[in-house]
Amino acid sequence: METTIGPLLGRLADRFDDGDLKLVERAYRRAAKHHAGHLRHSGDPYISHPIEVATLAATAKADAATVCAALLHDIVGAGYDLDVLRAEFGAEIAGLVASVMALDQGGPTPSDQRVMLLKLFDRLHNMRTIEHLPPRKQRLKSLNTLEWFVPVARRLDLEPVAVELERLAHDRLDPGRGFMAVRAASMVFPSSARDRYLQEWSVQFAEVDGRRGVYIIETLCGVPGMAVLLWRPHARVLIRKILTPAFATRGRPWLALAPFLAWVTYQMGRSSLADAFAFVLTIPPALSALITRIRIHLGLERERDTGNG
Amino acid sequence: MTSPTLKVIEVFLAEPDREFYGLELRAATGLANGTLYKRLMDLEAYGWLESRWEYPDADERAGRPPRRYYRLTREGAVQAREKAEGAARARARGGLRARLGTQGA
Repeated sequence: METTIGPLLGRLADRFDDGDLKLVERAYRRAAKHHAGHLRHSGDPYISHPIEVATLAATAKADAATVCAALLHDIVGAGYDLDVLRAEFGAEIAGLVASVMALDQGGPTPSDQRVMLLKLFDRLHNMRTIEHLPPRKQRLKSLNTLEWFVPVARRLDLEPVAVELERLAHDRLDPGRGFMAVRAASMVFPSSARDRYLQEWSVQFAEVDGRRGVYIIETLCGVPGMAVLLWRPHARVLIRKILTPAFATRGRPWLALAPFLAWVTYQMGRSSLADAFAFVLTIPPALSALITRIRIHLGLERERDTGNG
Repeated sequence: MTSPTLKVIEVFLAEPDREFYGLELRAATGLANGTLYKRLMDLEAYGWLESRWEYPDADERAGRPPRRYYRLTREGAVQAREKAEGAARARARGGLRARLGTQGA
């Protein structure tokens, strides 16, 4: 937990000119003064949060306005006037702070990527320190993180942030030992559906009163059936994917069948040459017809016009 | 149409404009959670149902975990009503046949 600006300025020194560094320091002083005496849920001085968000922004090579807005992003909520902020730090920084606040109140997604970046780092630090919130809030924030912030991080090409947020959120959403069985069983689902239903059931599990074991068993019993349903749309594609290379040429399936056919023919020939002869005359043509059907079905071969159409 | 699906759509049809969440549907249909979700997955895949998370920040005041809500789509409401009526007719016919059967015997 850092409460001074020194390390952040050090990090920015090789990228920012003196004017920008002064601006960042001024933003820090304003924030520190205004958050003085405020504490986070963790008991840390409040200023540690804006500093951490600004440091994350600095690591992501954000510009000076973004770093300053990160330092100042909570002071309007703490009673500082937005107009005064605009007069003091200019329209750009005040605009960023105002947009972040608007987003908190459910405003539309802003076009300025820097606002999303700030919101994302704000959430990342909050998720890193989430264990100090009441359990119910932890679940809500975690769910919200998975629903909104992880996709935003991916959209902004911040894969490491997305991965960390996912991990932090999943840790908090895990509703306990009983649910582990459902989590394990759901491994048979396609990954997209897995997250969706695990989230849904894990929050429901928290709401089930009494008889949680029944809920778990009921859910587990449905897992195989659900897996079939969920894989059904994929199955066609999957089978096609496996069969297409295997049947790419007419020779390939024959290559696989040949040793077996040869062995069967040899075994038959040992007892009766006539049987072996009949086998060779009937089975390979039947297999050939089957291979042709499969190849036509896969679109690897065109149906020969046999005049029965 | 199998009867668990019928149970699910009957709950929805009773209040076609309402949204229902999983635990509520489980209680209303009396189905096991796994069976219920199999039907919900199916109906959602067919486009009869749509679902959404209630906006997670909206219910922080409600003092309970957020819920995923399911509701009938417009198309789904039409189709579901047809199915339910078809099933009701089949049931009526079955009942009649049973009565005729006992009379005949």
